[in-house]
Amino acid sequence: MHIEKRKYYFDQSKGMGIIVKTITRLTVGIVFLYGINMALKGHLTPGGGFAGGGMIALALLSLILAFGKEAAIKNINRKRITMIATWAMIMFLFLGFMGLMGGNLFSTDFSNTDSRFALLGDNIMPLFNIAICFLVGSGIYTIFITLIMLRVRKGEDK
Amino acid sequence: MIEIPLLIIVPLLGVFLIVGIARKKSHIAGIISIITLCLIFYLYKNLLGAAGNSGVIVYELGGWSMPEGINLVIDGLAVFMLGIVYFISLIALIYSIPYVKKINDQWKYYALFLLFITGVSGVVVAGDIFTLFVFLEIAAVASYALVSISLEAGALYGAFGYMRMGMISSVLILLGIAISYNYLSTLSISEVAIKLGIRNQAGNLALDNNIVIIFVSLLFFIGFAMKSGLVPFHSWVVDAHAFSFAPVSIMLAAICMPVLGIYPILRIFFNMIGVTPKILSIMMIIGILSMILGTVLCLRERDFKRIIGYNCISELGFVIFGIGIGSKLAIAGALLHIISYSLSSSLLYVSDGAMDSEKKVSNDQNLKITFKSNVLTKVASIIGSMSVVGIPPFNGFWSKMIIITAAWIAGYKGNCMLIVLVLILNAVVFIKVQTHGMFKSKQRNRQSIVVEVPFLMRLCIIILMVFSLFSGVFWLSTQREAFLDPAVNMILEKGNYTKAILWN
Amino acid sequence: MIYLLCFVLFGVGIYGLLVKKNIIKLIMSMMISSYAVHIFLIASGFRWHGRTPVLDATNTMQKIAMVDPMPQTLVLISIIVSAAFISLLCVVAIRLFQLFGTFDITKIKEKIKN
Repeated sequence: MHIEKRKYYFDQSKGMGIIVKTITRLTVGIVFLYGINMALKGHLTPGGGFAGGGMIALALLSLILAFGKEAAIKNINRKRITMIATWAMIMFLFLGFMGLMGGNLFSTDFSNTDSRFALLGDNIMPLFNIAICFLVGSGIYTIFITLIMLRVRKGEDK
Repeated sequence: MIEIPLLIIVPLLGVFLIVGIARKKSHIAGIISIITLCLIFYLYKNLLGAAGNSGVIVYELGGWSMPEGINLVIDGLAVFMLGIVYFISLIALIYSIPYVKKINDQWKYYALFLLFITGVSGVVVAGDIFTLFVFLEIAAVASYALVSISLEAGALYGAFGYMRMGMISSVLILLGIAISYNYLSTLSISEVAIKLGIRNQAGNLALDNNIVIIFVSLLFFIGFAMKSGLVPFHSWVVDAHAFSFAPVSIMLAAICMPVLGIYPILRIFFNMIGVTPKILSIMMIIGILSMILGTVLCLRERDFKRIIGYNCISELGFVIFGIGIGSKLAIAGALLHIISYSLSSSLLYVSDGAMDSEKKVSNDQNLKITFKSNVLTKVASIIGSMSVVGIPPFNGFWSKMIIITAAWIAGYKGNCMLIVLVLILNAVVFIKVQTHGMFKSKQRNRQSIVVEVPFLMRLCIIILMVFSLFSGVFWLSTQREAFLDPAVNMILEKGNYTKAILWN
Repeated sequence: MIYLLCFVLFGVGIYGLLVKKNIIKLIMSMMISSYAVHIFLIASGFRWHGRTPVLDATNTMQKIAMVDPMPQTLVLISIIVSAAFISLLCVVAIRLFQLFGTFDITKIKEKIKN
């Protein structure tokens, strides 16, 4: 594993130069975490699931840009992203139907009286934001991977 | 009452199921989509009687009440539009099961189809403008992908033109939403109606002189007119219809252009901002231009699908003309015309698709299959042409008669003469199509196998031919009271919509 | 003054859509005009001397003068929708290039007419 990392890191024919690779290595984690932070605090600050999902996708995209196509897609390939997307969809619909217990669809009547959890709000929004964050992030990432991995066979068909 | 969001969620569940399960086998995708549509029909039946004559059903999503939350509203007009949408999408789905064997990945087609139905249901049911915008985008993106799904040259070019106009229209609608939110600080339709009504009564700024409201209504009108293919913005219609698959053309002509284009105009102008005679006269002028140009421009065309595309522009010109007259008879006629033009253009596309479509056999690209053109397809195209032109027992006649009568009563006699001219030109075009196109024998490729038209396609043709006698039924009094009158009431009295929502 | 920027950008986008023939330039003009509307929406939510619309433990659910968070949500949704849309356009553009070898809309139209 140590040797594999060096193979991607010093190989200047794939991806960008070594300065870009170093800085990307340092900052991708921060961007990813900030995206998740923005998504989890969606009921207090502006942002929410959409913005967080966008930032997560952008963090992964910057990996592809800096390290080349093969290095990034080998680990986070299409099957895994589709699995994340499917589970996020199931969670989203499950939460929607669970809101039926409190009245309407996507209802928000849960009571939360513990004072230490006051910032979590008294409704279903944090869980909802998590589902949307993964859904949007995986969706944008899938679009980008499809555009990159488009291969042309000789002839007509894709 | 739970059925209203279920109308949106059930097709979305269908999409998830198809994407999750049915990637390998294509039959499962078709079966899932048919089951989904049957479920939607069952939900829709429960809603039919519940709305009443001038009442609405409001569903508050998430329990947040009216000005802050998202409302889903069903009233008479929504029931009317949903009926057209679901019926024609069922026919298009049955028709496309034998038709889409041309594509390699069929599950993509079915998933996009159900996504389009989700978007259209959301547009009809929406209670505030931004929900309408979001579902409009969903339906529009699904339709762009559907038009270009065959990945041939013509389809991609038609899809590009369609996408270009769609992007401009989305940007204009979003700008209209932005300005109206900035001015009125609310997004839901009934709230805007209340606020504009209050400003009218207090004598501050009447609707005609308020320049912000005039700008916003112009932006909305141009944006939605682009989506519905009216005349200065009609360049995408013909290419998108001509090069796409037959069921996709049915969806574009019968669902995408009326429901994504004309229905929001009805909602925004009659329920939200309010109509003045200036706006009505603009609608009438655009209607007449669409009618004339739609028929004149197709006199030199050779391809049947392009002729049907130009005909769609002309028929939508009829609808906007009827709306622009503004009386009760005219609006009832315009809504009836939406039904009859959907049915007749669907019949024309269906018969054209069954006539000479070619199919590739496995990987051998030289071998083509053409359908034997039998009596059924020829009779179908004749009946379709007759109902488009407006010959009495078929369904083009009733609605055009009503619109012309309403125009005469309201005093627009010169316009009536223009309409009659347009009808004569229509008849000329379709007579030319029938004599040159249908009754000459085509030369077949020597390498093509001739097969029978598949059973499901024949079923769709027969169903549509039966229904093309049906549009006059809607003018009988029982059906009219059940179906058309609530829609017209909800459009005409401006306060009806807001009053009914407030009482709930 | 920000609104002037918005309308200038919108004008540039519409000019590009009307005049340019290259598909990639058309795509970029569409993006520029949608940027203009997004900036307009966000700028319209600004209040002088307003705080950031964050609720913390001191002021939960009280209405103090805050910058309006509603247009920001609308803009986010619109950005993501237009991202999907532009990616569709890129796929169409790539495929047209493979089929015809050119990015010029007028030449593609002539080749299809034949």
